[in-house]
Parts: sequence; structure tokens; C-alpha cells
Amino acid sequence: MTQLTGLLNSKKFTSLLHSKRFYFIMLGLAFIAVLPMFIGSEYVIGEVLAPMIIFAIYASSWNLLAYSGQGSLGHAAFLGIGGFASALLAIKLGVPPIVGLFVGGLFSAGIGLLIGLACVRLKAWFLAMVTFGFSVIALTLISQFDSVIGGIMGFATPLIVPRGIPFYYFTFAIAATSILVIYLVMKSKLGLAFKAIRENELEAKMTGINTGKYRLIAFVLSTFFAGIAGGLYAESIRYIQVSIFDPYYSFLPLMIAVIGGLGTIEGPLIGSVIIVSIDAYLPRIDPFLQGLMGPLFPAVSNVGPPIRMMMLGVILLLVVIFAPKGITSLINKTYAYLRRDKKEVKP
Amino acid sequence: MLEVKNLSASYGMVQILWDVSFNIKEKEIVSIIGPNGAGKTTLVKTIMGLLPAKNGTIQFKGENIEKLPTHEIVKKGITMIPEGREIFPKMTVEENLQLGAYTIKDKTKIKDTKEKLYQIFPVLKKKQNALAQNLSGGEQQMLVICRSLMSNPQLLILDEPSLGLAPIIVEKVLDTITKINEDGVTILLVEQNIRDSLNVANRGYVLEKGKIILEGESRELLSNDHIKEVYLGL
Amino acid sequence: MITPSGLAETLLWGVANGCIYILLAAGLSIIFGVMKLVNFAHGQLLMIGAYLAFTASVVLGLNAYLSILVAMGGVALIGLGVERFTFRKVLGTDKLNEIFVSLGLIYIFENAAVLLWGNKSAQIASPLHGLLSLGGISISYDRIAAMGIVIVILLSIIFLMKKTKIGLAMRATSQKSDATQLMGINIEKVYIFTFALGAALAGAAGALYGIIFPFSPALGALPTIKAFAIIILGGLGSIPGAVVGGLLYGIAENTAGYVLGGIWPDAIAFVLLIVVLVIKPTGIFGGKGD
Repeated sequence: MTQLTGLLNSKKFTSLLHSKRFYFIMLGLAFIAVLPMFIGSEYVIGEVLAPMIIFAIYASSWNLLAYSGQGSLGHAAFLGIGGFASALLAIKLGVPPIVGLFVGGLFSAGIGLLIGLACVRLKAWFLAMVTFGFSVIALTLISQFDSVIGGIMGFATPLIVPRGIPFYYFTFAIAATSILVIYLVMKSKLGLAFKAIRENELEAKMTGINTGKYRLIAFVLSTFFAGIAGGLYAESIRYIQVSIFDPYYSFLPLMIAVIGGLGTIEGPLIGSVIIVSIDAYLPRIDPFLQGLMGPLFPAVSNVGPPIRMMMLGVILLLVVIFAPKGITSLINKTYAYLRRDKKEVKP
Repeated sequence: MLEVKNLSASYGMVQILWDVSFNIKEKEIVSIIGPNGAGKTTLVKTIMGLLPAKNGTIQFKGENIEKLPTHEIVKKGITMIPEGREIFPKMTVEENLQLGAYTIKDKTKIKDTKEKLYQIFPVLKKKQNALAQNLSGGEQQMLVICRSLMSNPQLLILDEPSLGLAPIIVEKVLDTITKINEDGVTILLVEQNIRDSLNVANRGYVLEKGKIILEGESRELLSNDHIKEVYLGL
Repeated sequence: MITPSGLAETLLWGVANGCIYILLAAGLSIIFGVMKLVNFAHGQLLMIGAYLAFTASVVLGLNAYLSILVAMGGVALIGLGVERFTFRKVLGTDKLNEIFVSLGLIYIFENAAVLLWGNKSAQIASPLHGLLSLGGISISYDRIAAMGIVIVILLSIIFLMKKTKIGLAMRATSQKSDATQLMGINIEKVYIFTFALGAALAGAAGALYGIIFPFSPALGALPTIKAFAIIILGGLGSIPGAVVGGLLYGIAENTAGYVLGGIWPDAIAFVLLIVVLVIKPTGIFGGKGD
């Protein structure tokens, strides 16, 4: 905590106030803040905008992990642990839900610490495997103690703030804080160490960086924010079930962060807007796809979902192969290109 | 035989070679000498196509090879012994030699070359079924030299063959290089060990900070003031 | 009720399941050993192999065991394309990129399978029926056949690696890729062959899996992780390691199901995996990691 206040007073923070990027981000935040005033639909606010914000936190947590050169294929474990812990604390122990949300995040980070202590020294793909395995184990354990937890059928989550606009602003505030913290971490000495480890672990070690310690810190921080996102997510869909451990939820933050732009603060935000929008609005083309291609694939009654999912896979491949820095880099490149044109016109 | 003109190359973001030009004539032994970090290894890796050339041309027997992949360059008749020997440690001596002859289709030719080499280096024949990692440093150096000869190259490039070897073995290695040359193989010897390499070479080039700063007959170079002062400590 | 003969039977069936995993893991291990590439979509290749064999036996009326060849060939071809157009582009860059490419492939393969074959589960009809009983322990003929086929395929792989020119080049590449190129070996050819071979093994594993178990397009994720667990247990990049790891894994999984019950087999194996990784990150039989 003292480190955080130190950060806020540091030169880096004041220089942040002078960077152009900072104002873009502030502009974006202001836009998100006023958005509900222009959108009357409860559905859009509750089912599209709120998940967008929640998955932005979730993907940012994954992004922070990748920033230190590590990967997880089982982040759903921490999303689920955060979700279950915060809901159970409120229901079984009567903890105020808002406290439960943070304790859920801490609980997730605690489990993350245990996994991390054992596994962060492993190479990227080992860790990815172990985390995936852990998500299977987490699912099994929650199912095993179903008589106590009731996770197989699922249960309703307690109310933190009223649904709709209050919940939207509540989520927004937590997201803004979380992402600011992640940003400050990335820009701090800690973030520099993460980056050094990612670029060249051996060299980082030789310059005296305790790589194990820093990888563990990145892992624990990441699982904390994943846990917070899990609590919010359970809250937003109003119930929680073991299906939250599904690989789909493990792959989601990776998809969002990579498509948006890995290693940048805005990448997961942009990626989340793209992926959640695709999820929410693209099903509308399903009848069209069914009419066009349905007869070719008689094995399925609706060709829409698999075709859309396949396209997502293709987009991911294209991004990784042709734009490894994500959509953000394409936006930046276009911006730079337009600027260059202006400069060339002047003289 | 080999003609390098205005070659530039980078390693990652850093440019290592600047406008390097040199040539080797048929049947010559040419030495490129220079201190650690001068870009010698980058130079030979670029010639072999392991690193891309940024600018400039490399001609082998009148043919441009700077854009060819490594295995094509080997097929043209150039082999290289990389720095640190680079044996295949978990393979037998025999298998290491077979790999050297990978580009040769004619099985009897492979066998003849191998027998000839075994005659010259009987210790390798004795250990033909031993794993290469169990050979001594000197034996490993002999093994890589034999391996590089298995494809009957016209030009042999050696990157720091004396590195990490006892002086008596270095002498043996240099003797071997001279013998190979007498058999008609052109040699490019890249070395930090200046006195020894100029003693076997006909001509030499001095590479410093990625540039050729001196060239000439070996005898001239050995009596050059810069060389004397910086490298030979005279 | 746990009885000695029940336990013995469990072990035997575990060995049989392990054989299928061995095949899958050997493919993953060869690809990893030679290319230093981890293909997280390996289990999806198994799933595609199962469907190809299924289609060959249903549409062409092929014997289930001959359809294994169709699965191997088909998946090897897919492997060629996958290596050439996706993994080759990111090989040697950040390791995370391999995970991302794998994930893209997982989405593509799973959903392509849904489109082509639907969401329902399928199983390949086998010409063999019934159980062989020996002194109170019985095992299905299909599992016996699977063990035999796996042994034959593994022996062929060992022959290929030890006695052929491409095998020599593959082993050389796995040790020193730069020096291999200096031998005049086209390393891209080695890579593409390696990937296709690994994919073919996954295809064969898929066909055997499809004869013994029902499968669906969502089958893929768990087998990948299991194969990964096996090569970690046995030591990365080593085929004998994959054999020992596969047998251990099959037995552990089956015993967990027998002793602890329904939902535990998948989890117990991961517990095993994590324990091994924590104690000895290079695997039980692995030497020093690269």
C-alpha cells in the first residue's frame, strides 16, 4: 500500500499527467461514464456494457501476467474462485457483499500465491498447462463438495448495489481503479522488472533481478484482479455455477488481450469492447448464415454459432501472425500515418 | 573463389558489420583476425546464411549466394565449423559423420571418404560407436573437422577452431588445416589467435568493430606496427 | 467395493487406456523435441482423427482398424498445412505466440467439427466384440487390439528415428538446430515432416480412442493436457519417457476412477502432474532441461 501512495506521488505519475495518452484514456473514461445517459435500454447497460467493463478487468489481469512473460490457460479457476468465494462469504457468513467482493479477490490471490509458489519458476508453457490443470481441479473440488456449496446447480448471488445503472457505475468505478493500479504497476520499477524478465529472463537474472520473486508478484496480482472480476461477473449475471470454470472462460481473457493488443493498457479495453460486442450483436446474422450455408452443413440445426466461433479463431490467428501487437497497434499505425500525411503537406 | 563486397549485417537491432569487403582465391588459406566482439562470428554466420545480409553481395565461384538459405549454400560446396565446435553430443561419432555427408547421395563415396578420414584419425575409428559428448575436447575438434570434410567441400570456414584447446592440440589442429589445404580445399580461418593463424595463412584481414581495417600478406601483417602493438604486445 | 481382482483389472484397463495416451503424447513429444514448439491444439488433432476414421468407416464402409490409416493420413495433411501457414510464422518469436496460435486452431478445429459432424457424440463401430477373461480378470478385445497397434506404431517410429536419413536429421535438429543447417539440411523440411508425423500419431490415437470411447467435437482440450502431463512425467522430448509416462498416467487415471469415483480421474492426474513439476520440473525421467 505504501508502495502505491509512493507511486502516486512519484515523478512517473506527474509525467503521466502530461502525456497525450493519458488524456485519451481520460476522454475514454468520461465517454464510458456518460454512456448510460444516452442509452435507455436496461438490456444494453446490464448485458452488454457491464460485461464489457468486467471482462476488461479480467483481460487486464491476464495482460499483466503476460507482461511478465507468463501465460495462463486456466484463469477461469481464479475467476471462479473469486466468484464463489465472494458469493459464499455473503450468503453463508453474512459478510457485507461489497466486503465479500474484495475478500473474494484476496482469496483468489491467496490460492494464486500457493500455485505460484510452486509453479512460477516453470517456463511459460508449463505454467499454462498447470493453470489449465488447476482449473479442472478447481471444478472437481467445487463439484465434490456440492452438498455444502451447491455449485453444480448454481445459486443466486447476493445484491451489492441495485441492478441497472447503479451496478454499471459501481463496476465502472472498480474497473477504473483496478486498471489504474495495473497501469501504475506496469509503469513502475516493478513493471520494468516484469518487462526485463519477459524480454530476456537470463539477462534479467544477471542484472540482479530476483526473477522468481517478480514472476510470483505478477502472478498473485493477476489472480487478485481475476478474482475481483469473478465476483463482479457472478454479480452481473445474478448467479454462479461451476460452468464458470469452463475452458471458454479461461480462453476469453487471452482472446480479448491478444486481439486488443498485448502488453498495452488500452489493449484489453479495446479487445473487450470488440469481443463482447461480437458476442452480443453478431448472433443477429445467424438466420442469414443459416439461410446461406445451412444446407451445406446438415449436421447442425444452426450453423451460426460454430461459424462465428471459427471466425474468432481465424481473427486470432491473423492478429497473432500479421499484427502481433493487436488492434491497438493498427489504430496507432493509422493515426501515425494520418499525422505523417499532415506533416508532409505543410512544407 | 569467394568475393564479399560491402557487406553489412545486424544482430537484432544492433548493426555489427559495416561495409566489409574481402576475397579468397582458390587453394588459398585466408585468415580473418580480430578481437572478441569485432563481428567475426556474425561475418561467417552471414556468409553461411544463418543471419541475413542487410546490404552487399557475397559471390561464390561467380554466383550470388547472399539470399540463399544455409542448406543451399552448403550444397554449393561451402561448409563451416562453428565456434565452440557444435558436435551433436547425444549421437555417436559415426552418426555425426553421417550428418556431415547429408548432402551426398552416393553411398560408396560416403563410405570411402569416411574410411580415408578414419585412417588419418584412427582414434575416431576406435570410438566410432561412442557418443560424441564423451570425447575429449581435442577429439571433438577432430570430429567436427572430419564431419565438415564428409561433404567434400571446396571452401571450409573455421570459426575460432583453437578456442578452449591446449596449445599442443591447437598446433595439431593447425597442422591438419594445412594438410586439408594441401589436398585442394580452400580455407577461411577466423581467429582471435593471431600469431598462429597468420603463420598458416597466406593472407589476412583484420576486422575491428565490424570494419576491415587492414589487409595484406601474412608476413606483412605480422610486421605491421598496429598488429604488433595491439595484438602481439610487442 | 475394492477387491484385489477388481484392482488388477483396473490396472490392466489403465494400461490399455495409457497406450492411446502414449501415442498422443509421443506425437506431442516429437514435435516439442525437434521444433521446441508446444502445440496446445494437439488434442483437437486427436478429435479430428477420430472423426475422419468414423467417416471412413461409415461412408466408405471401411473396417474400423483400417480406418486408422485414413485418420493418420488425413491428420498428417492437416498438420502440413498447420505448420506451413500458422506455426512457422511465429516459430522463434515469443513463446506466448505459440499458445495464441494454438488457441486460434482450437477454435477453428472444434467448430469445424461441429459444422461437419454435428454436436452429438459418435463412436466407431468395431468388428471386435466381447471380453477376454483370464482368471477373473477380463478385458475387451478392442483394448487388446489397441495395445498391439500402439506397439507396432511405436516400433516403426523408433525405426524411423534411428535408421533413416530423415530420422537422423530430426535427431540432429532436436540437439542443435543451427549446426544442423550447416550440415546442408533443410530445416524447414525437417520441421514440416516432424509436425506432420506428430499429427499423424495424434490421428492414430484419435481413431483408437473413437473405437473404444464415444467422442464429440469438445473432446480435444482434456487429451492435450493429458498428453502434456505425460511428457512432463516422462521427460520432455523422449519417446521412452512418453511410454513410461503414458502407462503411469493411464493407471493413475483408471485407479482414481475406481477408488475415488466418477469425477476424480481428470483431477487426480493433474494433481500428479503438479506434484511432479514441483518436485522435479524436468520430469521423473528427464535429464537436465534445455
